[in-house]
Amino acid sequence: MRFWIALYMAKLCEVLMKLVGRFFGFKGTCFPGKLALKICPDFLGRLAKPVKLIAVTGTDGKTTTCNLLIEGLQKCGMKVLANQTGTNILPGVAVAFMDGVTLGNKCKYEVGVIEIDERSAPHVFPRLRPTYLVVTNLFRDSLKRNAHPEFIFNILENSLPKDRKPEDMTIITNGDDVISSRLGEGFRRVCFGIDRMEGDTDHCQNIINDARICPCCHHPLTYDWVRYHHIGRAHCDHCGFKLPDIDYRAVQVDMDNMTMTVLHGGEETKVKLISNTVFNIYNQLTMMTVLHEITGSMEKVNTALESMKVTKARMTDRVVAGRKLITCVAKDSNAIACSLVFKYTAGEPGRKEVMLNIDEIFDNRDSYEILSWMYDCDFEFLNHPSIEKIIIGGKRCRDVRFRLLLAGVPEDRMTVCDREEDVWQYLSYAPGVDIYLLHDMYFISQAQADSIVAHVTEKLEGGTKA
Amino acid sequence: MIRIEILFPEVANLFGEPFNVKYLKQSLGEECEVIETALTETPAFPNGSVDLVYMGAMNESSQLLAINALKPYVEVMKTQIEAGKVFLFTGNAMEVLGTSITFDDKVEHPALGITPLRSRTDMMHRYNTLFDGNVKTEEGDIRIQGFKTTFSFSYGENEDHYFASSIRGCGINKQSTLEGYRIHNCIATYLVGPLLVLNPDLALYILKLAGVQAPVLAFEDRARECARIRAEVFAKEGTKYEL
Repeated sequence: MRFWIALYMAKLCEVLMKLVGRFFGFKGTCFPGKLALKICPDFLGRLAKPVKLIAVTGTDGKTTTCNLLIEGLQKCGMKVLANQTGTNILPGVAVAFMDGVTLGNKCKYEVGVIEIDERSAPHVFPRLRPTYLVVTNLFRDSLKRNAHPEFIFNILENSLPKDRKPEDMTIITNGDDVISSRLGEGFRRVCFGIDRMEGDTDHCQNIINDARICPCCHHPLTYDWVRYHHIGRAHCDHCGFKLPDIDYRAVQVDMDNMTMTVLHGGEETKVKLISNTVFNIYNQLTMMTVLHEITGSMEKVNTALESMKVTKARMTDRVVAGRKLITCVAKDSNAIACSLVFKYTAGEPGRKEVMLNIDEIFDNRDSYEILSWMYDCDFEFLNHPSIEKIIIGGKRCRDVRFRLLLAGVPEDRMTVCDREEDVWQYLSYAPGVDIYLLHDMYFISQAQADSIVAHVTEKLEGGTKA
Repeated sequence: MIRIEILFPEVANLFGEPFNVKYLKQSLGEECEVIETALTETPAFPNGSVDLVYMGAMNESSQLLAINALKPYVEVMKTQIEAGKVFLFTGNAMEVLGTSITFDDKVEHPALGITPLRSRTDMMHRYNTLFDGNVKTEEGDIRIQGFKTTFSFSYGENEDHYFASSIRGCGINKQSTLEGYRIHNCIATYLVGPLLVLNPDLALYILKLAGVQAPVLAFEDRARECARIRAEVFAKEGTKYEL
């Protein structure tokens, strides 16, 4: 009875909130989910679900992977339930499933793709009982919330529904990730991975590598090659521990022609790359693995890929007055995400000036952000001759400058600006110099980024006209 | 020339804390040798050839590995601490020196027993806070700022052996105003930052304890500029401490 009251109350609440939202300009929230869970704590568990349910979690790449998966499944003709517009914590997930059922609690979809915040796993997994659990990777994230990868690994491991038959749930993980690939022993596990690529090294080039010792005997791990941080091929010379075999193996990644070949079950399929960044190639491969597990056809996967693109929300590029203007999300307080973005920025061709807006805006409003993540992060990548100027915005701009000094960036290449929104004023706008804006991912940061881009565009176009 | 030994950097490397030593090395250049000792290696400090021994924050399972690796050297450590050797343990490395660590499984794991503190971990509740306090030294007080990001607190007497007295922010537990533990030049503190990078005066003090005459820090003017601004924000009445 509580369930039915919760269902009808929450659905009614959602309709009302949508109506009010139209007048006041806000989008759906997870409030109806909160309400339903208050009335019926097992609301999510009782909601009807699609037969095939894919839960996506992990540190980085969850949203992109979900977006690609939804598009891929839809292109394969499936009706997909997703929590794209909501949040990835319990109430948001509840709203997504509530939207997916009729008033009689009959599921309207055949497949579901649900992004789940790692820390919400203990609340969500037992009620969701996914058929596929996708773990993109496990890295250090916000130290305030996620502490360290072992903490998150244990949360996920302890949240797995141990009462299920191993064959009822497939765990899909990154086989190049020493940490996440060990999840779910006893369940059916499928791994994807990318063979050694150009740019991979024999030793870790990053400050942090959270898998330096063998998880079995604690002796140092030997890496055959390293891509970044603890992503690579590792084994233990002491006890024989090794990473799992790769079931979906990407080889011959060709960034020039934007293709790669995927080996699976003796089959070789050449596919197009939808992005030239390594982290997005992993996201693509994750999507391909899941899609093939569901459809059983690499041909269908390949067809689905045809017009697929990585969502532009996290990265935009345009040419204004002959200069590239690129924006890229560098998630604040996340050393790994920022390191990847810094490396990408340095590696792009051409002369550059970089605007760096990476303050933790909420903590810095009435407090002081914990700076530790900056010393986990590879600011050293920004010490690159192609980066001629770095304009650092925000309340902690001097802390960032100090970190960059320790990274070897000459002081005369840096300018500090206390207001993030004003960084554009310090660009040189010199001909032939591309402009990068690396910014945080909050809604407010995105709006600020849009405003900065508008200012830069106006300045560049004005300059051209003049 | 001073020698700094980093204990177990392959695991004791959370929260950017290795930069405590990197910063000292960057400051001293050729005048500083850094030795990194893995869990499976024999530490260098027992033979007396090291001026400063450092260990940083780590995950909970690594705390047990560190305790096991250091157990054979407890008596040497005690002797060296009595003799004034400089040890610096930051983050939850402090707990390794205590009497015991109790994790969520309620099992009390014996630690090295160098300090009388026992620690308790609650993995469901992470605690993040700023800290503003004073460190008493022979040359006067040093005002320090730092952060705590932890699942655990320590309990026990540290009234006569604290590292820093709090102006704001809690000590070794939420009820305490006394942070860390200090025996002669052995300093153990939950504070991270990295602590020495955030506090140039403390970094200089540690270097002097380790035997460096008139040390100068890398980019010291910029370090001081950041520290001054930080101190102002931390001292502001409206500044929120718990994050």
